[in-house]
Amino acid sequence: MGGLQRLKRNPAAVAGLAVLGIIMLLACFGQYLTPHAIDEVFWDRISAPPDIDAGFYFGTDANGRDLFARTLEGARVSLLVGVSASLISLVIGVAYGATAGYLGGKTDNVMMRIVDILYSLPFVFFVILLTVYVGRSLSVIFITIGAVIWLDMARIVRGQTLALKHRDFVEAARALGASDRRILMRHIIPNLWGPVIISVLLVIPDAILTESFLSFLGLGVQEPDTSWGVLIGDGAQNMMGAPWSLLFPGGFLAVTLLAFNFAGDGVRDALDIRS
Amino acid sequence: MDVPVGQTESNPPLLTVSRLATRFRTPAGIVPAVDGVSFDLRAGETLGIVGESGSGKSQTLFSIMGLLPPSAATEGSILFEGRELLGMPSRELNRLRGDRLAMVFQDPMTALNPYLTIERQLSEVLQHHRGLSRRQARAEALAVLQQVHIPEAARQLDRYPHQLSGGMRQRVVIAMAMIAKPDLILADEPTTALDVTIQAEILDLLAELRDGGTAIVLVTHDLGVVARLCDRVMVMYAGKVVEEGAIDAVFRQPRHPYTAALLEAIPRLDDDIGDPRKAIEGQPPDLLDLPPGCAFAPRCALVRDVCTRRSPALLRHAAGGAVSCHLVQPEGQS
Repeated sequence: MGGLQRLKRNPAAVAGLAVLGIIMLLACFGQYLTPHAIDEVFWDRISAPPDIDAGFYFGTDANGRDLFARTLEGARVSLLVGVSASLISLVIGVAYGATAGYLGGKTDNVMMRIVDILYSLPFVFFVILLTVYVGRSLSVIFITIGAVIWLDMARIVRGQTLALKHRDFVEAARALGASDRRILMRHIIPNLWGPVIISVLLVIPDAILTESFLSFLGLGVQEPDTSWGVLIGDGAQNMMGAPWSLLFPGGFLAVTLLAFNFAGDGVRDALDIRS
Repeated sequence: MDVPVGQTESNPPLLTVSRLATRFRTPAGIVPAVDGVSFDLRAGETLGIVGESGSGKSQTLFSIMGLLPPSAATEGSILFEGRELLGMPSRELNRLRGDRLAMVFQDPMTALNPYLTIERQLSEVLQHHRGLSRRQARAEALAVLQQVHIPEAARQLDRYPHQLSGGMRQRVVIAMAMIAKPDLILADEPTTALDVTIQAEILDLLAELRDGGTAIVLVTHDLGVVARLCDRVMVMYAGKVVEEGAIDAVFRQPRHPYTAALLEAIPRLDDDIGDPRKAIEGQPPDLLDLPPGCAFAPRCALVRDVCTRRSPALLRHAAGGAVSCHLVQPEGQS
């Protein structure tokens, strides 16, 4: 409705969305743009600078693998982690926080103590334990990031809901015979979009960074698979001799996060019907 | 313009509130917000509840609607069409609320959901209670907006609350309350947050509703509003009813000193500018620490010994009303 027009009138948001679209397209179809596989080693090109004629657009890394192919593979993994984490925090965090805040009393108390307990779990220990039993895989990363990423969202949403539930229009809805479920779905959750969008924005880079931290510890993505975090870690070690191996994955990460910020700001403004 | 209350015993009351008591548990102690309020309301009747802030008038309404917070406890009985509302399961209550009885809120700035269009605010009630389709509900919403005299009603349907003026929003709030054609509308200071000119228009609108046969309970601190709209008036002080009666009788001959003082305090056009305002001396009582006798005694100009010792009972008098004051009651009674 009016929201889309408001979004279109915001050039930064449109640019951000366009950049995100391009990066997602590259992540999905980028492998068709390069003849090289992510794990193919070119012994004659160890830490070689970009060579467009030979098809090494971003150069190669310290093991002689094509950095363009690896950066796109990293985009795939990092975006997947970011998007799935944001979905988890959206669905679980919003539903959980809104329910706790709206019902209040004992229910709220129990629900939020569970959040506190999950918060206090030693995260890295938790991940190590899981990898010991389940083995190292991308799904372990998803599960562990997913288990903790929605906690912040639940707390934010609960606080907002507490403030909203005593607003007159909620009382008015109850006076008109709306059930608790209906009040939550129609009156509380739509009024939460502003703060929710902002915290989803914080969740995506947070998840991407957490993933690269775990991968750096050797608990996450395993070679020859890769992610932006792994590439940046490798690139940082070789930045004196081969700055491109840090520059390209780092640039992609920075541009992506910036684009998420612009797009998120625009979407939040577009959702605010008062603007 | 007011029809005297006909004691038509043939039609049973729509709403019977008896000995309603609402108490709030607070860290400082138990607050008796409503203390033994009883009244009847017949179909099409209009009752005004008047009192200062904290007199329990709004909490009486919230008790009827079942909108009290968990910290509140209620006693007594509220019969609506013969069914007990107190303790009614919320599923059952939700079928009545909005459909048979509805409420108009005080502040139109906050009583509408900022994220729903006017149409959605209105049609929600009908879709919920009547199971109407979106289309049918939209047609009904348009009709009710025209009934509350919103200009260019069709255009307003797709607008959001912030795009409407305060008076228009209050019309929408009233439209929400009346869209399901309830038998009873409870209005909580519906004109307090509005400009004087808009107030008059909203009162005219409520008068139209009354003439259409809807029973109205109007809570206000403005006696002028009650005089324009209501058949009967109930004056509350510190959670208790101090005087009750037909509007003409109470206004012509207030029996309780508090009612008299309230009437005195109304500014009149023919007052001399220099006249000091006849405000009621003193502060409303602290509900946590009520005096032992009549709650109004500390502020009453006519206070006697007995007033500070025993609280007076609410007794009927010959003119059909009731009053709770030692001064107007024969010795030995109460």
